[in-house]
Amino acid sequence: MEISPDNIIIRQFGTVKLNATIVYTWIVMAVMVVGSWLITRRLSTETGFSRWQNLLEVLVTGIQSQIRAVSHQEAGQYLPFAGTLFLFIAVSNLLSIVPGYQAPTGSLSTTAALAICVFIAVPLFGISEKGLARYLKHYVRPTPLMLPFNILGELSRTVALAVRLFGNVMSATMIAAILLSVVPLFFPIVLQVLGLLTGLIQAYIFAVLAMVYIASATRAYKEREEKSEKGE
Amino acid sequence: MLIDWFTVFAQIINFLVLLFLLKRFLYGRIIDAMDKREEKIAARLCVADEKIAEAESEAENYRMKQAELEERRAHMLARAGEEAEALKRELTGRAREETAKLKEDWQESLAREKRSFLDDLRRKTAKEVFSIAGKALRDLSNQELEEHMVEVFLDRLCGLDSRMLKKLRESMQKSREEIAVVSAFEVPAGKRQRITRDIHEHVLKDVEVSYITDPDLLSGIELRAGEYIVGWNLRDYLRGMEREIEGLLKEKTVPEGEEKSE
Repeated sequence: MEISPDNIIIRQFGTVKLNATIVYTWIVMAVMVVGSWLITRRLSTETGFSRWQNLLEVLVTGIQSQIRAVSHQEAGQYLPFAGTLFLFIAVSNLLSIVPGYQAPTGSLSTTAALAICVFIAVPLFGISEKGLARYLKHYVRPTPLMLPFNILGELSRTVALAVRLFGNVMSATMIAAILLSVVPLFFPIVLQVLGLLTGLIQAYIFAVLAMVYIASATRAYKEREEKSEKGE
Repeated sequence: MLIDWFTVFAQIINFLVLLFLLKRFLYGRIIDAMDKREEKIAARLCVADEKIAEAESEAENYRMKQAELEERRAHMLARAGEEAEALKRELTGRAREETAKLKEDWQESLAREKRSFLDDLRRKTAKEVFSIAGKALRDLSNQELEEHMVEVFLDRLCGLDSRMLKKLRESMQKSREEIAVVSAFEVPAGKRQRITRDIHEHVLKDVEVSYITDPDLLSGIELRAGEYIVGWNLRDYLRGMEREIEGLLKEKTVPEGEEKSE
């Protein structure tokens, strides 16, 4: 019993180990990209269109509305990032109903990678929105004394993102595995269903938190600047 | 170790690749399609709005036209009614006039006929009376009466007053040759001489007297000297009587006829 799919080595080319995490990530990516390509290959701009297109449109508009609700900004530039986070985590988790599948999100490496992406994306969005100097200034606000705490906060929330997702997905897999050995019939199915739910919820939480961080990096300065412009 | 840094790196790359691919195949296309659809729907709604506005204006236009037509129709009906009424009045008036004229003509012709009938009746009656009287008188006349007539004529001639005589003489002098004694009967020669003598004695000497017999006088004898006439005859009496009778008949009939014609 492996705690992480990282440890399942499928191929090894010298020092490069092709583990299950990467392979299943590719599978998930392939499913998503091919699915998207198949559906968006022939998009209808008329009022009548396919259910698959309808599904994608519902997803995209849902994500857009969530982004708008969280950030109070237009979804435009944040949609690919936040949307991909959500969709990738959601698909990764939902595919766990397929027997033999190992969710890549059950690997701390994957969640860490995603958290690192967020960690990098937040300042990038902030800088692109406000400029480098202004973005960096927020680390020394309200006083330069807060600088270490701000940095720590950034780091800790990144770690928290990674560990939260990993813990949830991994625990769901683990609980399923343990219950299979204790109560082999019916009960694991219920937990599996619960696992799907938590998987989706985690995907949502991860994406929304990422969006909140990004929003705080962009909007917070805006508000502060607006206040200072008003002479406060 | 739960974190394999190679895997982390690979996953970051994977995520970025996925991000790029999804951006290309999913978000961009879907949003594009939705925007296009929105545009189309907006355009259609716009067109629909335009069409609705157009339809409304058209409907308004038609309503106005209909109202106008209705008004015109009512107007035409009213005018037609008025014209019909006027025509009816005119025709009725004309018919009445014609009837009145016809009636008048009829009454007139009736009156005329009546008048002519009455005239005829009058004339015939008078003529008849006249001819009966003439016949009767002619039948009555005889020698004795004729002699008596001559006597009466002579008496009258001799009894003329001076003024009358003067007139008679003037008249005789004017038309000396036309002095004639006209009688209905043949005056006997003795009486002729006497008459001539009396004329010479009382009226004018040496005047030529001619004797003419005219049965039309019916009965009687007279002296004609130009315009002047002395004597008497039944014809004149009868003519006078005829005139009187005619006058009488006219009086009796004409007012009656006029009353009826009114």
